[in-house]
Amino acid sequence: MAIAPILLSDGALDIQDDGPVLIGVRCTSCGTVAFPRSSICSSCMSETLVDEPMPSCGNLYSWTSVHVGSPRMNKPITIGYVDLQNGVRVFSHLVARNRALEVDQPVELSVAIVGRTEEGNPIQTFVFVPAERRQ
Amino acid sequence: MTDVSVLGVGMVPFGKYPERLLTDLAWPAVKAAIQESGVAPRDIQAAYCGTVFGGMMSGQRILARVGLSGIPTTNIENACSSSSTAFRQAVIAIRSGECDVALVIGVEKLTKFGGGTLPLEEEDWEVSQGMVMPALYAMRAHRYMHDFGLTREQLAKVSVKNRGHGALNEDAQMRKSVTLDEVLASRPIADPLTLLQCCPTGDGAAAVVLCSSRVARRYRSDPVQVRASDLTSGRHTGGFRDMTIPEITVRGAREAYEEASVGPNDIDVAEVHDAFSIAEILYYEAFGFCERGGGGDMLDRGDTALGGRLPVNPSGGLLAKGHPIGATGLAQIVEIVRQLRGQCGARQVTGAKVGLAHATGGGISGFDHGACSIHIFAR
Repeated sequence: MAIAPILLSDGALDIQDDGPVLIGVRCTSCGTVAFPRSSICSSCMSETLVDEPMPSCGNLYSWTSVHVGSPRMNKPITIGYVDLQNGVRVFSHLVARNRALEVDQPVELSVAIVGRTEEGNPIQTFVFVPAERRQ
Repeated sequence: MTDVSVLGVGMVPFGKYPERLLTDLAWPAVKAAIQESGVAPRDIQAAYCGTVFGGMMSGQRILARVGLSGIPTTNIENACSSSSTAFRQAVIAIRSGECDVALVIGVEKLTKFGGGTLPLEEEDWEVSQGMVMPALYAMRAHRYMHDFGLTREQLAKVSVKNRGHGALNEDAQMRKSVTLDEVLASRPIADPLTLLQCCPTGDGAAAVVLCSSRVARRYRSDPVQVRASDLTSGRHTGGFRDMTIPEITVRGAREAYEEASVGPNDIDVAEVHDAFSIAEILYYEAFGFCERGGGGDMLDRGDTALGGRLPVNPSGGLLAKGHPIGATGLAQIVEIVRQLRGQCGARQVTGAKVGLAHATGGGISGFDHGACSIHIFAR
């Protein structure tokens, strides 16, 4: 029997029919866009924020493969910062899919299992992968 | 405004003391600093204690051991800058005239966690997603290597240098020199950082007695002067930032130099926050010790080794002396004070007159670092 995956990024990731999308917020007062969601604007303190889907493509600012940390995560875990086209930087797990990861490489959003809980449930979250097409 | 002087310093050798209570870890440092200062315990008017994981009332618990209860005691948590922030609070209290003599303690017992990476705040978004400190520094290293052509060998030289310095320091946790090959061949932690490019986990304590310069010579003929005492917090952004520029330290360095009326060329010795090898290179630039991208060349030339133009981390730094985080900032100050007094033996920086101590840290989303405290001392 398949065990339901635990979603690590609950509230930040929406898995729709045509693919995953990251959900942040946009301030209706000053226009600041932020990820993940927050209940107050970090620029103007307005509490009038609306959901804002993040672009699913970006560039890999930097990355690393990590052999230490939470025993729940697959080792090594590959993580990095992705600079999205709307100016937001997202900390994300990465899946290289047999390609070498490089600084400034175009990447796109996907979903993957990145670890397992103590009870054996898979841990699922958003990841970025090397983009299929040059942007 | 009253000038401030350091009268006495003390620390316990950093290492692993899992069987010791926090209070028993700290009191020998406190006693040593007070004895060295010449100050009678009853003349200490205030105490400040920096610790991250020490628990409630750490300062009062430690001071009760040595009979120093009843004085205003403030406990301070500011990540790796905790005890340097505590030191700054004592400086502010003396400068303001609130008191003449104050005691600062820095203490941490990391062995209570049983090993592994430093526990970070799970409520933080990036931490909840898997961020650990070595990964943050590794990403800085990766980007710096991409942008400036720093090699893995140059990066590893920071560890070779600081472990060599630590071998000369009986207070250091790691007392064996290592070779470049050993650093590069040690197990991978977060690429490109290998084990020997990461500070060890450990326990430790440091203490300092400081006073108004007006009364300092009653107690010692050679007080060391506090020329700058600076604290900055990181600027938050959810957008892009250049991870090769530690903005919090850049701002802090500018403020500290201005306060002390000195520049990078006036610094004879520096203790900077080398939690991981790449950090020391970033801080060479942030303090203006070299031009942008010039950190690797500085290491190749041996500029920052003992005997070089500007020795950095003669104590061995966090990489060799160790990094019990709440004790780190104050232990850096202990080293600089001893260097300026000429008490450092085989690792003495010849003729050091002006020294700098820099502790920064706090891995939280959207910041370069959370906190940064910089002090400049002179004799």
